[in-house]
Parts: sequence; C-alpha cells; structure tokens
Amino acid sequence: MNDLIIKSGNLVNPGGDISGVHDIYIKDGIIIGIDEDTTKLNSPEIIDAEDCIVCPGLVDLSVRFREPGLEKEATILSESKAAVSSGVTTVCYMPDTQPIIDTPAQIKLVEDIFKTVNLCKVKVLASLTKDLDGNRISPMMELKQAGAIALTNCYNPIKDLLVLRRAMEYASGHEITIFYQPQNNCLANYGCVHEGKISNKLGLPGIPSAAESIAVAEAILLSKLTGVKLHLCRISCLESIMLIKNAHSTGIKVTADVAIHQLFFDENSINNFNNDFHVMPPFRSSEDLAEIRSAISKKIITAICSDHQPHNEDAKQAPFSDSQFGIASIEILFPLIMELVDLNIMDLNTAISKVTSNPAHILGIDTGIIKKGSSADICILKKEDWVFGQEKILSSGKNNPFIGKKFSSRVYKTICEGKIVYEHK
Amino acid sequence: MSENIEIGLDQNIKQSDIVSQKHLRHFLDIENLPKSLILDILDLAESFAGVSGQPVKKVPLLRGKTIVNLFFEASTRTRTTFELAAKRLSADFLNINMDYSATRKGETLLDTLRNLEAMHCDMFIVRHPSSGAAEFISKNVSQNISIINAGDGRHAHPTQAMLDIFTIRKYFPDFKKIKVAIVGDILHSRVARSLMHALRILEVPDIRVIGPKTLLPNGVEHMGVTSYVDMDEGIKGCDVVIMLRLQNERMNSSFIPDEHEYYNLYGFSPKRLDLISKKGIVMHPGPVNRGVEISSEVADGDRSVILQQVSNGIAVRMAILSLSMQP
Repeated sequence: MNDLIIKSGNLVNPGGDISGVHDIYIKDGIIIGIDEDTTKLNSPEIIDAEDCIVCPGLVDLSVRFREPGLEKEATILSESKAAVSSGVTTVCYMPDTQPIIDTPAQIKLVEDIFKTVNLCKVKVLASLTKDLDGNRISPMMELKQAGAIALTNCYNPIKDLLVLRRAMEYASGHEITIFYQPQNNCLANYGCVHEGKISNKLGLPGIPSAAESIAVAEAILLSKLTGVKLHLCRISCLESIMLIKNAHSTGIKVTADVAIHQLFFDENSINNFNNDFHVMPPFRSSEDLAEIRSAISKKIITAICSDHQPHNEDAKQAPFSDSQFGIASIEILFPLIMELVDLNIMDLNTAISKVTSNPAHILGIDTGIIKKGSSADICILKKEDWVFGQEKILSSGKNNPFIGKKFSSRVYKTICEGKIVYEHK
Repeated sequence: MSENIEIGLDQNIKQSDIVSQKHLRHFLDIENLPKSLILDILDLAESFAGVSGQPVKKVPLLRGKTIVNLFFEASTRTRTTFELAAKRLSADFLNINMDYSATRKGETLLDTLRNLEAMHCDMFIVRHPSSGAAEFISKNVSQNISIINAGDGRHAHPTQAMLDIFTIRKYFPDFKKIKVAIVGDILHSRVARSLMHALRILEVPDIRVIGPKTLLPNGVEHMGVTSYVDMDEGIKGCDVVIMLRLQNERMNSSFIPDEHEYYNLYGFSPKRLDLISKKGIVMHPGPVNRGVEISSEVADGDRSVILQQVSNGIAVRMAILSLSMQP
C-alpha cells in the first residue's frame, strides 16, 4: 500500500474540527497528519484534489448485496464495486440473506467475504429473532460479541408487542441497538403502493400511512419503557415524522433514517405501473415527500441510506404487484445527495453529515469524520456533468428508476483504509 | 367495415394506444381514450348489433386472423361473449384457461407469452388477477400482436364499461343530462373504475358511488365522483343505477357484517325503484347474487336491463376487436 497525500482539496468534514482547503497525509491506512507530514512519508503518491470536495467515506445504513444464497441476483464483489464508485466505504449488511444471519458463523462468513473482496468495510446486522420468525429472540449477546453492530428483523413482522418488548428489554440490558422497520402488517394487508390517489386509480392494493406510523408510535413508546437504543428505518410518511419530533421533544432518544429515493419520488411516479418504482415502504403522497424533505433538512431524520436492493431482470418482469420491490441505488447515492444540495433542500455540510458522521454516530463507530489518527476512509468528489446510463451500471441490479438522469457531481476517487479502491477514469 | 370509420385523434391520447386514425394498438384502459373515439366505438357497435339477428350471424372482417382468450381467472360471461364476438367476425378462436397458481410456481407469465407468440396468434384477450397485468403484457409482446384487457385485478375492465355505456345510450342518448350511481363494492371493482373514467370522459354531470365506507376507496373523489354511504340519498333521482356484485369472500374479512344488513342498506329492493327517476334503469355486470345486492323482482323487472347488457356485450366487443386488430 502506497503512502498518500491528498493535496489542496476542499475538506467538507461535518462534526470534525478541520474544514476548508488542506493537505491530508496518509500512511499505513491511517491519517497521520493534516497539513503536516509527521512521520516523513515514503515516496508517497500525490493526489491533486484542487477544486474537489474531500469528505469522509460514506457510511450506508442499509444494503443488500444478496450473498450468501442469492448470488444469481448480486454478489459482495459486484456490489462493493458499485458502492465504492459512490464513495461508500462502510456498509451495514442486512441479515435477510439465505441462510439468515442469526449465528456468529454467519456473521464471520460475510465479514470474511468482504475481507477477500477488500474494497469497502462491512458492519453486519444480525437477526433480532431466530430465523427472522418474529417470535423467538436471537442469542443477542453472542451475535454482538461476534461483531453484529445492531439487530433487526428487516421487513419480517414481530409476532406481537410482547415479543417486541422482550426483545427490546433484552437488547437494552446488553447495550445493543435495534434497527426497526416500522410496519403493521395487518394494516399493510399485502398492499404494494401507498393507499391514496394512485392505489385508487390503478386498482393496486394500498398500504395506508397509518400502517407505518402506528408501528412508529408503538416502537417509540416501547423504547421509552425498555430504554433500548432504537433506530427507525426508512421513514416514509408525515405522521411518522410528527411522532419522532414529538419523541425528541419529550427526551426519547430515537434516531431515524430515510432511503435516498424517498427524497425524490412520490406516488405519482407509479402511474402506468412502472415496476422500477415498486419500493417498500411505498412512495407516498406529495405532502409526505415535502414533509420528509423538510425533516431531513432539520435534525428529525439524521441519516440517509441507499437501501440498496439489486435484483436480476426476472424479479421485475411481472405485473406490478407480483414484481419484487426495491431499487439498486448505491452507486448514485452520493450524486443524489449532491442533487439535494443543488435543489436547496440542504446545505452541503448538512447533506454530507447525513451519509457520514451521523450514520457513524448512530452505529457508535469511529469513522465518518476526517481526523488525525483515524482510518483513512475518504471520498473525493468533482463537479462534472454526466449522465447515469444503463451501460455504465456497475451493480448487478439494473432495477433503477434514475437511469438516464443527469448529475452535476461525480466521485473522482474513493479511499478505504488508505487504499485507493475506486478511481474515475 | 372498420375501414369506413373515421376516428378522431385527441391531443391527450397516449401514442402507444393508437397506431393510426383507424386502429387501436391495444385496448387496455378507458382512462386515456378521447371522447370522440369512445363515441365512434359505440357507433360501430351499433352497426354490428344487427349481425346477431341475421340468419347467418357472421361478417368476414377478421377472416384468417387468430384470436386467443388468455384467462388467468375464471369467467363465463366475458369469456363467452368475446368468443362469440370473435367468431361472428370470422376469426379463428382459441380458449386458453391458465391456472394462475401453476404459472406462479413454475413458468413465468413472460414464458407463457413467448410460447403463445411462437404459435403466430394475432390478438390476446387477457384476464388476470393482478392490476396492471394487461399493460405489462402489452409492453412485452411483439409488434404485431394486440392486447385486449378483459379485466386486470382491481384496475380496469374497459370492455364491460363500454358495453354499459352502450346500453345506457340506448335509453339516454345525451350523456350530459343524466345522473348515474354505482352501488356496492367500489374498492375491489375494476368495472367501477373503468365506468368512472368512461362516464367522466362522456361528461356525465353527476356520477355517484354508493357503499359502506369499508368498500369505498379512500379518496375516491379524485376520480371525479361524489360518494354516498346512504343508498336512498345516493340513488335519489338517478337515471341509471349500476349494481355491483358483492363477492362472497368479503363477508369473511370484516368489510360488512352480513348479507342481511347489506341487503337492507345497499340491496336494490322493489321499494327503492320509487326513488330513482321515472325512466330510470337498473344495471348489473353479472353474475347476480339474488337477494344480496338486488332482489329478483328488480333484476327480472321491467326497469332492469341486465340481459340487454349481455347481448350488447357481443356487439361492443366485435367493435373493439375489429378496431384493435393489426392490419
């Protein structure tokens, strides 16, 4: 591994002490100095970052790379390439693989594949209940000791509130964070779009906003009862935001994230049964979209994730309700974040904090900030117009409604633990 | 015969729906059809209506063409009227009843299509339990094949809506002067959705939907209709009342308490005839649940046009088939 100097980049470093134009010195994968070469680098490679934004590598709170078990859809290798092309250096790995990640051995397997691929770092989330059955709590402490960063039941329902309470209590005792996907499945009732104008018009079974917000309310109140560190995943409607805001004002320390695509589309995009817009939770009304954009600009929702879900072609080749949900969006996560800045939804510093220091803080990991002594996970971004064309997609999943979109920024280099893992050529 | 029909093109129509002034590419939905085209289809159907009364019930319009009924869901009326319509147009006709659960397990919908395409058919008439299935199929078949939507999930049943408005026009030639009510399970009804579009496009000034709140979609007013929970208030002064079939499975999933209460609140009983306009008619797309959504006296009475709807179905479907067949 070469020593590196990133010269004259404009450092955007939310939560860090240093920002503005600086040189960064990297040795053995560690940032050893900013503007000062403390140990005399050994014939370093110099990266000219003049006129570039230099920021911490992105921390993505939810990805599915499909391995093990669903390699026909995607692999850790293919999706890691896509991730680093968007500046992502740490991914949170969801446990709904085949088999499900509910044992220490499964965690180690995933970590080992990431080490072999050697592009970005992984934090594995393990299953909150055994086999994701929503009924028997998993061996949480064993999973934590094996490296699980948090526990989640993904989209699978928890049997009842008593199981959720017990899971939260047990996790709380061992200081384990729970990532909770709020959805009341009785109310969702096999729906596939937001219950509203479009579900009505297209005759597609709808999921009311209340299916999410009722689950949010239950989870918030149970987190107060149990003291668990609760993170709410993929918020999509304005009632949930109101509840989270209210929780914050009464001192309940719940955190929340939103999927990047939820900041760009509402239910109207589904018109004409376009399967690329089949996501979970569904795209909601234009009022919900406006409220989510407002909540992300404040401190109500502190993180944005890709919610990357690659599929092979067959998964989307069916009538809307029979097609698989999800978007393979990781490789445009950063360009889309910059688009939010261009749209004046957030300032640059806030926008970058949503994918770096804030998610790192939610996970309780020492990354997401550029500082002396920390791991050299860095993204360098250039202003440049480009079009996201189908032929350029690195992910195995081509299920992406952003294909054909013009962007004004692109990732120029990604550095993970001091190694250049992506270069735009 | 279709060669003599001039179909006006509207600015709003989707390009994909129409290939020329005289042909539809597919017939999937009513929502985007221009008013002039809907009226042209009705006029053409009018000219076909006489064919069924002739000693030789055939016209040679689609001779040499092959039409396939591709039904992934059970149907009697729609399937047979399409079959008769195709045969009266002299087309070769094939009925394929797909077991939807079997296709779900193994062969995908696309595989099924590819196989049928390989048999060089010209048109598929598709019924499928998933909303958007006809649209999906139309995007995935080769250029020379037309798709007719015979009902997709809860989304659309455009030929049923066309035959309903054809029947209405027989009694009320001026759509701009009538009040129409649709009663029953609006939430799950593809017929209701297509009818709401058709009536709106034809500028019917007063369109009402009536049912318990569990069976009225949230925000149905976006479709340009007024909703009523009280049937007596809703049908008052209406010229056309379209009763929808109540599907039995709804009873067991807490949409309604029981048949008895449903009939009392939303069943078309003889005394409710007094509430509609003097010349008002009662319609039903079939099959009828007698004593649940409509009494036998009304269904078989002189205000009912239920059987005319069935016969009109053949002429209207002949018109749609002939306009949608690629040259």
